[in-house]
Parts: sequence; structure tokens; C-alpha cells
Amino acid sequence: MTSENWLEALNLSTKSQRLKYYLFLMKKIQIKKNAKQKALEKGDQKFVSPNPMNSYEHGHIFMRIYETSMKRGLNYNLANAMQFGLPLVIDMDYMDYMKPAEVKNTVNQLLTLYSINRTDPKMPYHLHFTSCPENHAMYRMLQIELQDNEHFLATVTDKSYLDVFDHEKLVYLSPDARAIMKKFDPEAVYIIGAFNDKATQQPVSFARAKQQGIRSMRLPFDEHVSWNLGGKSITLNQMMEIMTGIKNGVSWKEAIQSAVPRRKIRS
Amino acid sequence: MLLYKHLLSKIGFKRRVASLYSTSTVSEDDKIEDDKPSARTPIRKERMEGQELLRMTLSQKSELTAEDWTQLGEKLTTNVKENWQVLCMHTIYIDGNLNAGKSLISYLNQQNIELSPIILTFYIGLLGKTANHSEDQEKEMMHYFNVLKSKLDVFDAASIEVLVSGISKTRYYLECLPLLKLYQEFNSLSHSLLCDLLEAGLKYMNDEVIKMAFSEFNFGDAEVLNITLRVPKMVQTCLVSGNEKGFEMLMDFLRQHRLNLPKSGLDNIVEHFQSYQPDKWRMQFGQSHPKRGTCNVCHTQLKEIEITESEFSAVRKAFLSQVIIGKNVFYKSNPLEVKNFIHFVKVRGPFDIVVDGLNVLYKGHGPPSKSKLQPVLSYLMRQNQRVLLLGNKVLMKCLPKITNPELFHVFLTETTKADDVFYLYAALHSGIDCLILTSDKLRDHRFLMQKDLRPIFNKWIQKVQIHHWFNDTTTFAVLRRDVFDLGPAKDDGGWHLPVNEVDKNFPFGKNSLLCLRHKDWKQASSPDPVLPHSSIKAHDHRSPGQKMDNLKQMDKDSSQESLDQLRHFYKEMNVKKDKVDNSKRVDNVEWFKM
Repeated sequence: MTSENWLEALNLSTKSQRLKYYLFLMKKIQIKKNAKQKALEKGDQKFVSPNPMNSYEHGHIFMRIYETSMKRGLNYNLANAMQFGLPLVIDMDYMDYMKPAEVKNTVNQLLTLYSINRTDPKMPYHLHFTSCPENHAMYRMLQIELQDNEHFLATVTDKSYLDVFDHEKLVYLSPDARAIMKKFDPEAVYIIGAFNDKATQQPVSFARAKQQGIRSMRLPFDEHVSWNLGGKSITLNQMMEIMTGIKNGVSWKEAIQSAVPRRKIRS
Repeated sequence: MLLYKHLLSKIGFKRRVASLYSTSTVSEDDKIEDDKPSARTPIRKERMEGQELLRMTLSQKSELTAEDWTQLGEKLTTNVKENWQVLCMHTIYIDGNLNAGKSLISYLNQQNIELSPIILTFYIGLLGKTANHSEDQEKEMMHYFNVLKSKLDVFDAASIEVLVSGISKTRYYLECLPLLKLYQEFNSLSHSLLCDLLEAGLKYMNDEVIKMAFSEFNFGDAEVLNITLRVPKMVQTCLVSGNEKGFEMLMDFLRQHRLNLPKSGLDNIVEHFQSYQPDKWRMQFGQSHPKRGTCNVCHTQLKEIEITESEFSAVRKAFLSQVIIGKNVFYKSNPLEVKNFIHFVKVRGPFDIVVDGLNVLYKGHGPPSKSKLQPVLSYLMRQNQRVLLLGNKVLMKCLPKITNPELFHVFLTETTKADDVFYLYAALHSGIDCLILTSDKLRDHRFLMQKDLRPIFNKWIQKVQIHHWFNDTTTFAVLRRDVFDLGPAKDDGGWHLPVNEVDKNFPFGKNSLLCLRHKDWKQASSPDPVLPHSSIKAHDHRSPGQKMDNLKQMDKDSSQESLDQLRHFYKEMNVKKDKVDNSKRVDNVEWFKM
């Protein structure tokens, strides 16, 4: 157990909560161990039959594109989007509502969100991380995970989105909202909350939109697919996939079906 | 910090592992030094096998000699990587096997092996659990406890649980109090600890300890509901020690929190009464009459639920801030809507009855329509009730024609999240007797109240809620209200204990109770055997046609009854030509009681 783990355990109020936390850590260690073992086994196989591409690269009609060039290309896309792309706001002001484990989950989701946006074949979104000062815990974790601080191509600001954009253009996307997002409006500035509400289960983002007097909308799940089970608050990466899809002119049904896990939708 | 680290490390994985593999819920103390995390998974299996081996050996031989222990130790050390004595003592503690525990301790003393704190803790727990008033054993336990205290100044949460489970069963139960104080420093007291303390108080007739445990339940974090599982045992303790006052205190606590025991628990209680006081009681399960509130076994009249003005005003004061506003007023509503509604209640109130419009509309089969709301409202209008109807915009389509607009008020909320809290607010601000027509259990709102107000709030809701009614396109009839206090209640002849029979089909229970009568008790006067509304019971199994005739008849009866009331009411109105005052409205509402 690291000192961070200890700190987290000490902040829990009851014995049973601590026990659950220890069990969670134990499971995590076991999963890591198993994954390591699997990787080792796979590594051995690789050693037995090496990839021919690694040994001999010439004599093909296609040029191999290396990872660095891929990255450069993707970053070029992002830089382009930062100049001309549509804005998409990620509201980072949810630290008080989340437990440490949820914060970690959110960071992972944000990473995926960032990479999904980067690989958008058309123009990606210009991401704005608002209410996010330099020392924001989630932002720091994001930087550590990304290992590419120089090329983090998004606007990061400690201001609120209310100070950056016109109030009338802002639309908060919240699963609890009443209004339905019928079609993608390129004029509007959509806001996604960087919030994992597994434990909270309160309409926090919707309440926030009401409080600030901005529009709030929900995605039209019920209108386009028949929902099977599970909550309608989806993860950030799924949200990003849907937003990218509808921006690029994909129909709602296709966008939702490709992003949301299959178990949640009745075929 | 370091100390806590040390303590917490003890509660680590081992504890969980133990609880996973042991059949008992009592889990292991965790003073064992932790191994490397990677080594944990195999230990689980080996540990289980070790426990099985020990149990098998103990079942084969009645007394284990030193040689047997040595052999067992050798076998176990090859399999189990941790200390084998600890494993054995833990298993023995779970099984409550006193002889085996004594034999293990004597073996360890013989071998000059120093007793580790963890072994001592389990042994103390074992001695206490199995003491059964034996003075020598209790003294032995105290001796070991003193030894343990000389070794350690501080105990971790898990060992405190084991220690308290043992010490609380003996006459040295007051030693638990400092341990609980220590526990409280880094944990909130768990219900099992409090139940142990409570049992000790009941056993040794210490009212102060009992009161302390109850106040911890009232104000601490422990969940009150968990006490119900231990109540049969506590009743047994009271019967053994003859602690009548303690029994009354326990029953008072149950009544205060409206905790009803399940049938199985009451069966246990019946058994205890039969075995400890065989010739004293007559016991039978029965039901209270939904309208008259009499027990159908002994025909005793149950008391009505009583709420004092001060209790009611405390709930009323807290409701707005704790339930409607809560953490964030925007979760349910918005400040403007709340302000408007408060103003609305001030101007239009007080009301005689508030109706959950959406609940009425969506109850039963078919889509919401005018015909569902019409009979309810016309019935209430006929009784000259000031009605408040709450709902959202769906109501607009289904609102029937109102003949008497002075008595009828509607408030539409923006969302369906706010309507429940709004009608509760309106009822609270209309006086103690304002009724609520809804079949909602209102659980989410109950639990938003602060802990000490929750029982009063529940009591109030139970008293004023009409949760069971009948309506079709023409008829409406109130079928059931739970205005009578099912107890546990004491009267001259004995006790009545309510039965918890809440399930999916009967969300509000069946009014069943256990009737405990003194054998020599005789009822003063026998009541009328034919009940006036015996046909209208909560669960009527007659054919629909028959049922309808009865309901219509009943509606007629009540209309006639209410006409008399109305006359009386208007007379009063003529005397005082001002606004209806609360006391008269109370009279007017009387007929509602079935």
C-alpha cells in the first residue's frame, strides 16, 4: 500500500468501508499480476515467432507510417481544430462531488475522450477545459497519464465557461435534463461535465445548469433506440463518440448504437 | 499517524479472507503481520483447509493431548504460512468451543510459548461468550484481559469488537465502556457493539447503560433497523434476568422508531415466553380492526397515534430546510418555485386534505383521465373539504369540472420531483390533522430528515396518510388508514407486538399483531361481536360485484354521516362568520376515520 492509499483509507469513516477499500486494492493487485503474467506468456510467444515486419521492412508497396509521424499528424489535426474547430466545453468543476476512485475513473475517461477527439477523421472539436486551474488534481493526473504535456492541444482555463462564452449559446448536456437534443446545432457551445456519478446519483449537472440559467439538454436515447437496462448517464468517452458522430453527420441511431455498450440497447 | 497505520494494517486483507471462508459472521482479528500482497491468494485456500483440518480433528477426539496439538501444528505449518495457533484460536472462537480453547491455551503454556495479543483477544472473547454466569470463568477472563492490557495500550477496531462480544456477556461488562470510547475515536459505533452493550445493560439491570445505548442509536451513525434481528435474544435476556423495566424500555424504543419484528422473530419471542414464564401468558397472533382499532383476539382498544404540538412543530420547522432545500434546492425544484409555493400555501391554506394528483391518476389500469380524478374530487367536495391537488402539467388535461371552486385549489409543479415534497409541506403547514391522499411510501423524503426527527416524521405520515382507497369512474371510498398505534404497547392485560408483514403485495403491512395476555386477565366488558363495517377490510376477497355494492352502500352511509357533520359545521360557521378555524376543521375530519 502506498502512502496515498493509506491517506484514502484513513479518510473513510467506518471499518467496513475500509475493509471494502482493502479488498478493492487486493483485487487490483491481483488483476495487475494476472495481466503481467499474460503479457509475459505472450512475450515468450513473440520471442519464438518474431514479427516479420520488424525484421524486414522493405519491398512493400505501402510506406510504413511510424508512431511519431502518426502523432504529428493527429496533433496537426488538433492544432487545426484549435483555430477553426467547434468548441466543446469539459466542465472540470466536480471535484467536490467525487470520491478518489471516481476521480481516477474520470481521468481515464478523459484520456479516452481526448484520443477519440484527436482521431476524428474530419475536423475535431476544440476542447475547452474550464474551471481547471494549473493545480487541479484531475488535470495533474491527466498530464501524468498523457506524458505529453507540450502537445496537450486544448484550451485549459481556470475561468468558468460562463465567462468564456455567450450565455445564450451554452447548452449543458445532462442525463436529467428535460429538453431533448433533437439535432446538432453548430452554433451552440455544448458542455459536458467531467463527472462520474456512480455514488452520488443526484442531478448535479442539471441543477447546475438551472442555477446558472443556461439551457440544458439530454441526448435522445428513448427517441432513437429502445433502451434495455442500465442508467442513461453514460461515460465521457461514449459521450465523445456520440458527439463526434453527430457532428460528422451520422444519424442519431447509428451514433448511439456504436458508442453505447450493446447490453444497454435492445436490438 | 503511524499508530493508525499500524492499526489499520491489522484490519487488512486477512480479516476479509476470514469472513469469506468462515461460516460465522464474526470475523477475525488482524494483528497478524501482513505478508506480501502477492502471497495472499494461496493463503485463503490453505487457511480454509487448515480450519477444516482442525474441525475434523476436534470432532474425532474429545480432548486433544499435547502430542495431538504438536502433530496438528506440524501439519498446519506445512500448509498455512501464518501462525497456526492464531488460526486455531480464531476457528475455536467462531465455533464457541470452550474445551478446545482451554486445551490449546494449556498446551501453549506447557510449551512455554508466549501468548500473542491476538490469541489472547480471541480467548477472552471465547471465555466471555461461553461464561454463562460461571464466576470462575469470568474471573479467568478478567485475568487474561488484564494481561492483554499490560501488553497493549491501544486496540484496533476489530479486536475491540471481539473483546466487547466477550466481556459484555459477563459481570465485568462496564469494562466495555472505555473500549467503546477508544473505538469511537476513529470509527462510528457499529450496531453490533451497541446491541452487545444493550444486552449487557438488560442482563445486569443497568438502566443507565441501556439509556446510553439507546441514545447512541438515536443520535449516532448506527442504523436503528439492525436492532430488530437481536430483539428476540434481548427479550430472552430480560426474561432470564427478570428485568421488566428493561423490557419496557426496549419496547418503548421499538415503538418510538416504529420497528416491527418479522414473524420469525416474534415466533422466537413466543417460544421464550413459553419456556421462561410458561403459565403466565396466553399468546395468539391476530389483527387490529382497520377502522375501530381493536385487537380481534382480546378485543382491547388500541390507542391512537399521538403527536404532540412540539414534535409536530419541530418537524414542520425542519422540513423546508432539510427535505425541500437539502443540499441543493435545484435538485428538486428552484428557489422561485419554492417561494411561490410557500406564498400559495400562506394565501390559500390551510387545507383539510392534500391529494397527490399524479398518484391518483396513474393508479390502477389505463392512462390518466378525467374519470379517475372526478370521483375523488367530487367525494371530497361533498364532504366540504378544502382540497389541495398537486401534480404537474399532466393534470391540466385531466381536471374535471369543479362545482365548488372555493374549496378546491391546484398547484402545478415544473417537474415530478417536487410534487411529493410540496404536498408534504402544504400538509405540515395546514395543521396536525390535515390528511394526505397518496399510496406513495415516501421513503426518499423520510430519509432526508435529520435522524432524531425521522421517527416523529414517520409517525405523522402514518397518522395522516390515506394510502388505500377504491375508485372507479363513479365511486370513491377510503379503505384504510393506519391511525392506531399497533405498539409494542402495554395495557392492563399485557402486551401487543406488531408484526412486520410488509411485502410487494402489501406495502403498508396487514395490521397484524401478536397478542400477549395474562392468563388471569379478563376483559371488562365484551364488545359487540358484529362489527359495523366488517365487510370493508383492507384485503377483501369477495367478488367484484359484491364488493361494488358494499362500497356504494358504504359511500351512502358515510355521506349520510357527513351530512350530519356538515349541518353541525354550518351552524358553527354561522356563529362565527370568519375563516374556519383549526379546531372545527378537526371535527369535520372525524368521519374520515374508518
